[in-house]
Amino acid sequence: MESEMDAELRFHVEALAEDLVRRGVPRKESLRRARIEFGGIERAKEECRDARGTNFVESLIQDLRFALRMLRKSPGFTFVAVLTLALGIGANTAIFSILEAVLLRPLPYRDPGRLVVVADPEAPQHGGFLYKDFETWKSQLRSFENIAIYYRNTGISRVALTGAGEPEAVKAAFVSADFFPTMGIWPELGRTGTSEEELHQVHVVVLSHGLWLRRFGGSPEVIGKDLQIDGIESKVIGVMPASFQFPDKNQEFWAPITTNLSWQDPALTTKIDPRNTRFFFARWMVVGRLKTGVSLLQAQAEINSLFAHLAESDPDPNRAPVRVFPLCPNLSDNTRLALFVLFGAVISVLLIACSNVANLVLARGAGRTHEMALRTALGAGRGRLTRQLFTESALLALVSGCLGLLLASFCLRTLIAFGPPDIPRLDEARVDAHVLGFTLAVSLLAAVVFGLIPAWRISQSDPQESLKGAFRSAAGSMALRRMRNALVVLEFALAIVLLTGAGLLVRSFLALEEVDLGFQPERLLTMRLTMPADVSQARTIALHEEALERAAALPGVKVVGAISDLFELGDVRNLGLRAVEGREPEPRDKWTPLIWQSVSRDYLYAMGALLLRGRYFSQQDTADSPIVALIDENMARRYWPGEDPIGKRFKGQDPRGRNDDWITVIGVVGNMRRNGLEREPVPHVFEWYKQSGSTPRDLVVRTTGDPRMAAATLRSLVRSLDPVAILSPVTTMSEQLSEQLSPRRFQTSLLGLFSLMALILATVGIFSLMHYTVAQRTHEIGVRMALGARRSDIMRFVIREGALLVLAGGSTGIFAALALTRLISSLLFGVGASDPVTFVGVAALLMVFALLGCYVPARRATMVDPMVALHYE
Amino acid sequence: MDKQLDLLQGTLDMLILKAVSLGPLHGYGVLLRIQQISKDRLEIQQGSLYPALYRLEHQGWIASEWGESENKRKAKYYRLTAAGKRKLQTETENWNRMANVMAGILGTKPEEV
Repeated sequence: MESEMDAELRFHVEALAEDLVRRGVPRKESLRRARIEFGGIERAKEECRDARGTNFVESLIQDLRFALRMLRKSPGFTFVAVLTLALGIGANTAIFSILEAVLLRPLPYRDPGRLVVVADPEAPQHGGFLYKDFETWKSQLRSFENIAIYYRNTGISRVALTGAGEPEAVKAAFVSADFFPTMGIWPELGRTGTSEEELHQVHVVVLSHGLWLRRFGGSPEVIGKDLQIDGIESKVIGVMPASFQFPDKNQEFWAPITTNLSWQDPALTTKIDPRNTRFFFARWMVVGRLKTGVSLLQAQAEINSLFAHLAESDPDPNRAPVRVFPLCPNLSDNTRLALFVLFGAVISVLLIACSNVANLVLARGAGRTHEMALRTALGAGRGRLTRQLFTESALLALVSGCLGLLLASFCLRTLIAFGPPDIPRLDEARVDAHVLGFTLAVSLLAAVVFGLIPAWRISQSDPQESLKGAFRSAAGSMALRRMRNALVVLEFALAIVLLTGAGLLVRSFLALEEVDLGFQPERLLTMRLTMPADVSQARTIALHEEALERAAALPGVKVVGAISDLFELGDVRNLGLRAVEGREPEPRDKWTPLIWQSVSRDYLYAMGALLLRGRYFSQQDTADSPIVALIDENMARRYWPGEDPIGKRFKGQDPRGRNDDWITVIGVVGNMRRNGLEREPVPHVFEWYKQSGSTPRDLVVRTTGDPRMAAATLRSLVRSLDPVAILSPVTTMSEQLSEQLSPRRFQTSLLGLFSLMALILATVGIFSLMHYTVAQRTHEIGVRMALGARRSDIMRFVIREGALLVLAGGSTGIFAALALTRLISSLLFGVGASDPVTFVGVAALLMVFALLGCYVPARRATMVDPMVALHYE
Repeated sequence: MDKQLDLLQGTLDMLILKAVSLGPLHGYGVLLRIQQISKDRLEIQQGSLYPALYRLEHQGWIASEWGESENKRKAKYYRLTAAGKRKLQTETENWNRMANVMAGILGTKPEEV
């Protein structure tokens, strides 16, 4: 099309020229005269293009071709711009993929919006249902299509799998028959349990996808095979899809609620009936599916009235109010906040990248004002020019988008592997259609941000001005300069906000590493030692005692202790004491969190806890002697403030062991951070296991040398004691603590990485701006030097200009940061949201980088030779 | 030569249609033909000729094909289409009616009012 038009016009001009020759114009002159007579050829062409109807695709291809040519013509610009944008877009895509998988993607159930959890208003993850009420609820509630109840094995009592392979302890849930239909999910293989099986306590089991792969190699023949659960043969009837991670991530199987051991024989694991006792009722969880069109409020209202009715007809002190919660991904508030913070951070990085590229485009645009002016003079419309420039930007953004996508899918694997284990569905993050759409949108948006403003700016410039002034007109384009300066200010403002956030997180992380644990974590090995529930108590106790004794005799081992739970990282429930000597028992609303642990005689010594008063357990304590306990400082302060707690007596909440005996305090130890590094220690009671009657299953082994040396011998020793014992891997205490910090490490390093990117991009931004400024002002600098300015003056002049911009950006950023860091105060530890050290440090870091960015161009400015500069142009 | 007249708005299209109705022409030929039949009394902007040709072609009133010129060179020839023929006819009638009306109006003398 284009070439036909050229040929046609050329023919015209040549024919005209020949006629001119015939009329006596010299042949040499004729072509020129013909062209003059014809008038503006380019303009005519442009009008022809419009006249034959604007073919959108055709002109798009033409624009793209031209854009490609322009980008190829300046490979340096293209490379820097594409790299910058790809980094920004890639980071956005990666974080968005995670956000999408974890938060935005609907749960994999039928109509998940109607699913609710009915639970304790304060701690929904703990449930809070009396089982005996369930049938009443089920038959009376009208707002629900269906409700189902389940019992979750918490970390405290995992179910043991034996049989094929080494015994292992796994998380499991025991569910009522209509659990799966209520959830609206179907097995990927086989079927789920029936109400018949529930009624007759048939031992059937539905496996998780993960367990199926691990224990049965993903074979479809698994259906009908047997698996030993706590020593009982259970028939595999189905396999759930990998996406089903309910109630928890890493749930390994689901079995009929009636096949739960503690259901069948409450005496086996506890002395009390779990169905009707408040101490254990917490484990009963209820999920429900609301009828279509029923709101949470309506359901809640119905539940409230039923609750009032039950309270009258069957009063029970164990019954507590429950609330209806929408079923949502099981994500802690801090994890959610951290994800949003990271998303905000990558958006800021992209904004900085965009401003950098916009700046480059503007700088190039200043060089191109001449070209644009020429094209305007030759008849190109303003809209046409803007479109052309925008096509260039869009092409640039799309190329970067593709590269960013590659970058993101590559990084995503690392992110998932590196990510903390507590984020549900993190491993499902991938580049899918939503993510592709997001990346495309972000790329185009970026193109608008960095492309449209410069395009408009450039096409706006007066052709007359720039044609006359040619390249020197740059100084005249003050508006252009102002815009470029504003972009750099914005970059530094964003960078400082990110840096401050990252700085606060880093300070929190350092504070956590320094936190007073209350015990000595060095040279400490840990190992969990459990028995399947079918094994007799006597055999379990024998195993533990032998393990304690034999481990203590291992070479390189100093002392061995054991405790029920090494750490208590979940929520700690409020607990009351039945009696404190010489005092009224406390009503339930006065209860506070309390942790009660059974320990071996040497546990506190092995941990290196600080004995403040009294004594440790000793030989004088026997299974039959009066019950004694050590308490921690917090416990002493809670119950005996200002008094000496030694010799004081109290009774536990849970009437275990020697049921109603008084317990005497024999010692006080310093607080230990056993319930999470970031949380204030909760009051503790440590009871000797021989008196409390429960077996401490977590071993702590203090070694004399490198703990790793003893790890293998320890494990093989314990393994040899009893073949059905379930052993966790042996880890060091430092590894355990490091694991606890992994979510924080993830957040901190990612935010750190992004803020570093921001800092570097902003530095590149000021560098390229100053570099360009110096190049443009060579003439002016030359004049100054010719008039007697010294090199140091020039240096100061350039750096001052850059520093002013950075200061403007920095101070804007600090105000923004002061407002924004407040939002992340729940992510901080041991440092305030407006921590002066962080703010000053970040500002200083920024200044150093910014000066570095200015220094190089400034040095270049001092190298200007006035003679050359004055002859410039 | 008489003083040349500037082209009235919209009349270039009619002139082109008329010119090619007398036989297929290339762009330069159209220019020459118009100059010839107008006896050089009309000033044609050469630059505006081609956009007009493209527009008429786009509207389907003329069609083009490549052929050989008098001096054995490749040139693009335009000819009138059937639709163009009808268009030229109605335009001619409209023009004549308009010219009559205008002439009548402009020729009106005071006593005739």
